[in-house]
Amino acid sequence: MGENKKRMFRFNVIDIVIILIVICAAGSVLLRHNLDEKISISGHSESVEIKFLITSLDHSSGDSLKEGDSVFLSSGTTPIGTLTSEKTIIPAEMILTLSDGSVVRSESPGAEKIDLRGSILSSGVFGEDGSFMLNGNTFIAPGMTLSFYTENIITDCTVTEIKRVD
Amino acid sequence: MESKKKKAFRFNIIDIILILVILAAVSFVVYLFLSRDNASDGETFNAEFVIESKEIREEFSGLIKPGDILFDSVKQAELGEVIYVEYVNAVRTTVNNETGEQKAVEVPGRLDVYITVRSTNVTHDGCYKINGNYDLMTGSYFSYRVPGFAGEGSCVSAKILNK
Repeated sequence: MGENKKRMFRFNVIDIVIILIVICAAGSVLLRHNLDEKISISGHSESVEIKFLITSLDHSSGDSLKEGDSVFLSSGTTPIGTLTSEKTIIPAEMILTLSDGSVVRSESPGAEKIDLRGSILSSGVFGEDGSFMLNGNTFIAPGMTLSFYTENIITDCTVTEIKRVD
Repeated sequence: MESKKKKAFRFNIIDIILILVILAAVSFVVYLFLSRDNASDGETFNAEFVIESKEIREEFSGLIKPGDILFDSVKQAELGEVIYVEYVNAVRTTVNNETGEQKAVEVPGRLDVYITVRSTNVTHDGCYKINGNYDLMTGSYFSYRVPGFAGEGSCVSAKILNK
C-alpha cells in the first residue's frame, strides 16, 4: 500500500518541464497585456476614409481593386474596411538619375506601370493627440506602409491621408 | 522490488541538459520583460537630437509639428518631444559619369525633413541611450511615428544638454 502511494506521487523531469512551460505561458500573457495597454486606446469609434497610394503597379493589376471589396491587413485576418469608388490611375512616376548626374521626374513609358490612388472606408478611434487607431489598436498614419489584401490582390501601399467621414 | 524503485526515479544527463535549456529560456524572457522600459540607475540627462528623413513625398509636408510626441514605431516607446521641424527640397548626391564630378542635385517632388527632438530620459551605459534602450548617437536609425505621420530616418546630430 505504502509503495503504491509512493508511485502515485512520483515527480520527474517531465513535470518540471510542464511547470516551466506554464510559467512561460503566464509570463507571455502578462507581457501581451502590458503591450496591449500601451498601444490600444479606448473611445468613440468613428468612420474614416484611409486614402492610399500604390506605386509602380502593373497596369493590368489596377482592375483588381474593386469598389466594395473587403480589405484585410496582410499580417493576418484583421479587417480594415471596404474599398470605395475613389480610384485614380496615372502612369507611374519615376525619378531617374541621368548619366550627367542630373535628377529628373518622368513617367513609365506607355503606362506599363501605374500609380493608383484609392481609399478604404474604415473605422477606428482618434486619440487626444489626433493619432488614429484602426479598430482602436492598430496605429495608422500618413507616410506609413500598409500591407493589405482583398480577394483579388495583395499589395503594399503608402497611406496618404486619414479623413473623417461625416 | 528495490531495483524497480530505482528504475522509476532514474535521472540522467539528458534531463539535466533539458532543465538547463528551459531555465535559460525562462531567464531570457524574464530579462526581456524587466528591461523593456528600463533606464539605468545612473544619472539622467536631457538631450536634443536631429532625425533626417530623406526624400519623403511633398504631400506629407507639415504633418510633423513642434509639440508632437515622437514614438518608436516598433516598440511603441516614447523617444521625446518634437521641438523643431524643417522641410527642405530633397537633395541627392549624384555623379556625372563622363567627368566623374560629384554634385548635389534637388530631387523633384520630394522633401528632406529634419526633426529636432528633445528627450528628458537619457542615460549613459557605455553610450548615451534613450529610455535605456535606444542608442543615441549620430547614425542611429529610427523608425518613428507622431500623431500625424510615420516615417524613418537616421540621427544626424545629437547633443547632451546638461552633462
